[in-house]
Amino acid sequence: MSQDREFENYMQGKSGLSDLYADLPQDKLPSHLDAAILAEAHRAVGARPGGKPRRSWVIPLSMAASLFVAVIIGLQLPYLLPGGSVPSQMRQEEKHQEEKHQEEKQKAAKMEMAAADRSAPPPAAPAKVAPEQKQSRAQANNQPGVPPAEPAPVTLAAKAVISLNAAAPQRVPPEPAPTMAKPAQAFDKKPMDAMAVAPAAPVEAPPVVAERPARLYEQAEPGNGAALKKERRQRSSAEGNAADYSTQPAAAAGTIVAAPETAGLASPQAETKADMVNLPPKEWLARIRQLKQQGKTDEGKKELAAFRKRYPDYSVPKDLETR
Amino acid sequence: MHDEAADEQLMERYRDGDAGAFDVLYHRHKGGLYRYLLRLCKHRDVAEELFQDVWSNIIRSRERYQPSAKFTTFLYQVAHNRLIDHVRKRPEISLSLDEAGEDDDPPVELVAADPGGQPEIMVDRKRLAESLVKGIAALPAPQREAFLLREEAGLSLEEIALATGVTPETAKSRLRYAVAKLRDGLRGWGESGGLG
Repeated sequence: MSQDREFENYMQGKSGLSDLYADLPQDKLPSHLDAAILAEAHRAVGARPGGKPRRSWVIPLSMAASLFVAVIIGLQLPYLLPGGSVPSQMRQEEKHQEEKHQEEKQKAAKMEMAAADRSAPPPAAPAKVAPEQKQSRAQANNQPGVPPAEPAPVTLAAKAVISLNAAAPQRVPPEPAPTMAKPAQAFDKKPMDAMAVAPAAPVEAPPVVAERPARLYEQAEPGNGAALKKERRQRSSAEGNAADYSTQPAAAAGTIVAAPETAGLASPQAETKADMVNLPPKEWLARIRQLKQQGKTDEGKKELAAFRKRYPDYSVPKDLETR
Repeated sequence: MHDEAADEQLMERYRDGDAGAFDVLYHRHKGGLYRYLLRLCKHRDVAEELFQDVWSNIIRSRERYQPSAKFTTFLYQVAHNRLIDHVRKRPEISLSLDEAGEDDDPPVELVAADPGGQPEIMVDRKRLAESLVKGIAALPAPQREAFLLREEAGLSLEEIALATGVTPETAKSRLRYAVAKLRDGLRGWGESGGLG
């Protein structure tokens, strides 16, 4: 038998060589190798030997679910925490409120400045505004809801204003402080009803003059936190006055109507707007809805824009969005 | 469920996280692979070390496994490469796997220890098998490997060529010489042992 034929028979399984090889004694593999390899194989796919096969998507899915829950809790946590630990978002809101208060103060100062301008000669108006402003502010702080009735220590305030205005002497008329106090006193003693019927004096304060008292007011304000909080408390009582204005149009609105150039600054809507900023979201939205129901669509839109800026994560009702 | 599945399916299942599939695969091939390594390198401790290395490589490379070829081919290809690496690292274990002296090797003398010129003595099959083991051990390593791949893994010539990284003609030549030598060595026994 040639080798080729033998090889063909072997490849076809007809040779007894393969049978003889199959009868050879089987070398036994050590059992510890079996255990080690199987353990490694199961470890590699995260399963225990003999355990059920694990789904490959279970771990990623559970991790994603855990992450989702953690994010949700993290987002809700600031609203669940007590006042002790204020999150940064709330601090920003508080800062925003303080800025709003500053704006309100400026508006009030302008309004009072304009009112003072009405009863004072035009050149003296800028210098008189600041003491008047401080005076009325002090009164408002002491007696919330009551219009100013008594004159403040004008001389001290005037001195402060003069010293602060030294940087721009050409714009401030060199009038002595006592003379500035007179019109202020006259204004303060004037009843509100009388102011309401008084003709609107065409007094226009220049923009620089209108801004200066506010700036001076800011400079005179202490910057520390305690003073800021105190100021905020005082402003809240003053906002109570604003609410009273809105409910007493005969007495308060008349004052503002008398000075048309300041109507945009210190109108009842402006006071209401300043008040609305401090409202809870639901009440603010209710006010906006009320504005729209009253036909004040533009104001409502502005308020809605302010609301969205303040509460970007708050869902606005559809009836407010569509109108 | 796993018992009837093909090797390739089992490996794919294991790749997808089914550890039970690996168990079946392992138990199917562990004996053949171990004997292949043991009879090729002739050192039990080396064979065990290589055996574990091969399966560890299979486990680690499960993600890259593509069932384009038989799993058995893939398994023994890994084993062959591990063996070559091991020999290169430990020159004292010379397998001469790369040698190409098939034609120069003398035929394997698988003669009985002492036939004693007594052909009428019936040699039992066990002694014949022992002679076969000795004959296999005496084969040159490339021929021995080709024969073991054929017997233990059931690979075809093409698959042997693929597993060992040679051409099919080379694989055929190696296997042909191995079979011839073994038969020649057993020829004296064949008449009584039924190898014919």
